[in-house]
Amino acid sequence: MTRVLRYGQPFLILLILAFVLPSEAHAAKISELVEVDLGDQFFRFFSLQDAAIRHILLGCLFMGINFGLLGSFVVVRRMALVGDTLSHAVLPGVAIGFLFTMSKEPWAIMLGATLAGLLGAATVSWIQRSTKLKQDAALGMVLASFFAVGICLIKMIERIPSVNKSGLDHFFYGQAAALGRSDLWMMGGTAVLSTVIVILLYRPLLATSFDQVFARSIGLPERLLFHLLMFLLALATVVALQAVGALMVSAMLITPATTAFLLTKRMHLMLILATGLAIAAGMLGAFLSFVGEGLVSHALPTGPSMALSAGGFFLLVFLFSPHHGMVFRYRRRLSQTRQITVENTLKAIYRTMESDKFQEEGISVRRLAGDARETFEETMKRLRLLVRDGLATFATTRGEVIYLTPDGLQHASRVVRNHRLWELYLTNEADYDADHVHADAEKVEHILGEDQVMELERYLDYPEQDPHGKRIPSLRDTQRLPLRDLAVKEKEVDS
Amino acid sequence: MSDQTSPSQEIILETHDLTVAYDKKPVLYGIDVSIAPGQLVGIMGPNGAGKSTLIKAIMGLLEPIGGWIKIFGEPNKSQRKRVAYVPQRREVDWDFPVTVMDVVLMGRYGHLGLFKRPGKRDRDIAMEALEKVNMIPYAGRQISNLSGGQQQRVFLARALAQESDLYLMDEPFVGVDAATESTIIDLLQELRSQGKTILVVHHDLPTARRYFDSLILLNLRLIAYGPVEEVFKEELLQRAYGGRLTILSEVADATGEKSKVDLSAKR
Amino acid sequence: MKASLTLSLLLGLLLTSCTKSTRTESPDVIATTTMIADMVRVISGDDVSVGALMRPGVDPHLYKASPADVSKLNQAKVIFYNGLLLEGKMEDLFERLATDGKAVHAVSDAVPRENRLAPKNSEGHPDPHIWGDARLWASTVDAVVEQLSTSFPDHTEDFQGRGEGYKVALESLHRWATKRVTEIPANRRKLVTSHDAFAYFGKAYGLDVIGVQGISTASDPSVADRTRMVDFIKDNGITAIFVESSVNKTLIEQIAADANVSVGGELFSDAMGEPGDMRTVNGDTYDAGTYIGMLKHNVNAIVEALR
Repeated sequence: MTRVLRYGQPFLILLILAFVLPSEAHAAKISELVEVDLGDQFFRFFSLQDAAIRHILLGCLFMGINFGLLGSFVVVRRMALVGDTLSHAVLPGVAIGFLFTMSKEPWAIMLGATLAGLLGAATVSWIQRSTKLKQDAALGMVLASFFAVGICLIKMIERIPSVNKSGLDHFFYGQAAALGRSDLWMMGGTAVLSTVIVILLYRPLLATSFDQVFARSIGLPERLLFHLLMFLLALATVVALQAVGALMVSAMLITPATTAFLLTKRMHLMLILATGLAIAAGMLGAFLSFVGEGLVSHALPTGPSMALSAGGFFLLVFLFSPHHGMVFRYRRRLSQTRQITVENTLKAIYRTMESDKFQEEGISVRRLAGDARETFEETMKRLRLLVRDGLATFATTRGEVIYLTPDGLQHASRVVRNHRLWELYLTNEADYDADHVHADAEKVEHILGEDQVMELERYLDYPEQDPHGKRIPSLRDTQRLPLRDLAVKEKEVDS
Repeated sequence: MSDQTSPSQEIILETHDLTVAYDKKPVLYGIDVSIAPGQLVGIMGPNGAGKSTLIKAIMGLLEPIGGWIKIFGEPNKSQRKRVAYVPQRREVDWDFPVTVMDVVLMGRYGHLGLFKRPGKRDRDIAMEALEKVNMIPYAGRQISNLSGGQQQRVFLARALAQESDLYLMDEPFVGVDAATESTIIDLLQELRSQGKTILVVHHDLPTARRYFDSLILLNLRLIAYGPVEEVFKEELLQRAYGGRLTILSEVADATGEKSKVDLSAKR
Repeated sequence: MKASLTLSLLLGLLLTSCTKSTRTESPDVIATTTMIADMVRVISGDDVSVGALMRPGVDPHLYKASPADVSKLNQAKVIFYNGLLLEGKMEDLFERLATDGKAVHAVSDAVPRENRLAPKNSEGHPDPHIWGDARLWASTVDAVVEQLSTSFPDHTEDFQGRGEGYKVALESLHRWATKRVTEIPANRRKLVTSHDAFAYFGKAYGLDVIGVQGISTASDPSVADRTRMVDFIKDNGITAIFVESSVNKTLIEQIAADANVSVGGELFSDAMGEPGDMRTVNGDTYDAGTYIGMLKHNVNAIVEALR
């Protein structure tokens, strides 16, 4: 009984509190009324039944085209900061467009923003031309001051009475949820314009981006093309403001193009890849933002999700791309290191066998360890690599003895041959002293190719002995031969 | 002051009282030259003498503040298709995602205009140009994998693809290997034998005597112009490269930007 | 040249806008929202000067005090604000003024705890939109009268008389609104708006209220919110939804288009209309720039659209 009371007490207190606390509302926000789970959201996204999702995917398509095409040119021209500046510089234009019409007329805001963006770009080049400032300083100044003017104007508008100006702040962060038909028309129009211009003027744009001075020298309107690019960039930025916001536009412009740059070395492929990546990043961002609602109560904001997706793609490529990827580079280095260990071990076994005049097939592991000044375990570890590669076997009956397989012997002969030929080449042709060549040959033996070795041999007139008087395994040795043949040859050298 | 070449009816390039300025500060004063076709002309002078400025002005990339330039007797800007320009190699980004072939094809763009695509003929011309500089095996390679000498050859091939009559080259021998240097000079001599005219900004005095037919010696103004044996004289070279600053350069100094008129003689 | 000219023009514009707002004479009483200012004006009559910090159409959730506002607040004798975190970005400022000895009064203090509404997930923060319920609003009048009387004792009697009169007017407004809403069929009494500002209103007059956003406009609605709202509208057979004067309209307009319903009109939620904004509905003319007119407008707009 007492126990029940003791445990009952907190409930009692809760009950009392429930009466004292404010009563439950009979109004709610929609996310509390309609519960969603991950699966629902997932299928819903792909069913495309909602206009909201169709709008945002279409928006991603159009924005992706703009960002991919223009971003590629921005990246190869090394003016990534220009995109950033432009996206900040459009803000005062948004405000001025509003002030002109005293409403959020899309055309007025778009016009104002585009003009402000271009004005920002013009200010940058004007500062650069008339002062000795570098571009980064000019960009930084314009970015900050235009942005500041934009914020001041928007704050000022907020104090103007009686007009519905709410939502101007969405141009900072974007509001993908409110994406509508008119936004899509503007985005689509800009995407078509960008595509047509990039396709029609691909070559002049390429030439002026690569080598401005040369392009001007052959009479291409370099300045005009540059301004055209800036104009398209301003348009693309402005139409994307509503969806992703000024602060994320530059991420969407630069990241996919940079990722594409890592993946290809041809401009037209870069344009296509960057476009694909930008579209994919946008859609993935929208997807994550939408489906994430089923996981956490507060949705991931759409614009930043898109930028993060683009960043994720970059990271993947940076890590895993076949040529530049960090992981592949690391694995390549790792496998090279392993290969060198294997070959050095083979060589050590060969040498030991050689010192026995190839009379013994098996070599004691202890002896190898002693020669290499290693512990028994260290040597065993190296030998196990050979066994795993099928180059050697352990004798189980006598224990601790290693046998080279025919493959192993062949491989060992090849490494020794490379080593000794290179030593000979260095002493004969490069005037190295015989005691200076070993270290160099240690490195070169692993990287000499078949062709190079044969050329080396021809060049050295098919030598039989290295500078230290050791026999150089012949080409036939490296192509499988029974051990006793080596023993016979060894005797010939000795005699 | 300048030694004129023998008067010829056929003058490929003529400048008169050419004065060029950067930011309103003159860097070339009153240059008079007239060059007959079929010559290999070296433009020499110390750093900041205005060598690159001169060829950029001829190309119409810089606006002269005085004087005029005529190419084939016409204003320079109307003759762009007959002039090929090879900028300094380090002026471009060699990580740019294009292949060697792409770059050489750019030599055809001046003929193609804004919208036309290069056709088979353009490709053939580009291939031929690549062959002349021994770069055929590299045609499909991305330009970032090229050595300095190979980069210079690509630029040269691009200029060849322009099929021009007058070639202007800005320091083509800087930072290239000996093999490339001899390839380039062989090629320039071949061009000359076809009656083309080549102006080369050069800064190596010892090789200049071997390479060129005539020299333009500059130091803010024209020191001398004429056949190599006439210009390559101690007194003239001393005047171009000599340690003392001329009055002109002192004026230039006073108006600012000393780095551009660093006249300390440099071999 | 051009760039610097434009820049200097812009700067000039900014500067003039600042100086203009500081030049106006500072009133004795400052109220934050237009609703509070209206009530204080009615009670104080011409005896003291009353100023509103926020203009019509301004969103109080996001409003930040400018330096000019701070100086106005410092010069005022009494400050009335809503409280319950409506003026989320100025709460600290009011606390500081109060500790400095200024007479700072939160109108919502007069609303007893048990009458406050707390939405889910609000961590116990009550909903601040108390003016939605005319009777509740009337219950704050006495405290305002008292506060004014303390600061301006000469006019105590006038304040009391006008306060009583206002309470009567609000009571009759309440009865009118209750009756008017019954014109909507019971199953259609659902009010969909931008943000959750109509909880008190809904409770008082028998409407279910659903906002895309929560009680504050400071949180951004997501794409998922848009799709859910569309579902909800379709599932419940709602025929009209409403935009708010102080909240971005585009989202509600999109939702209306997605769900194929009409936008029933613009409601005044967190701010009233411009003074002198006369509206006539069913022969009843009122000023949407006053509290009473605003509430009438909202009720009429909702009833006409949902009926």
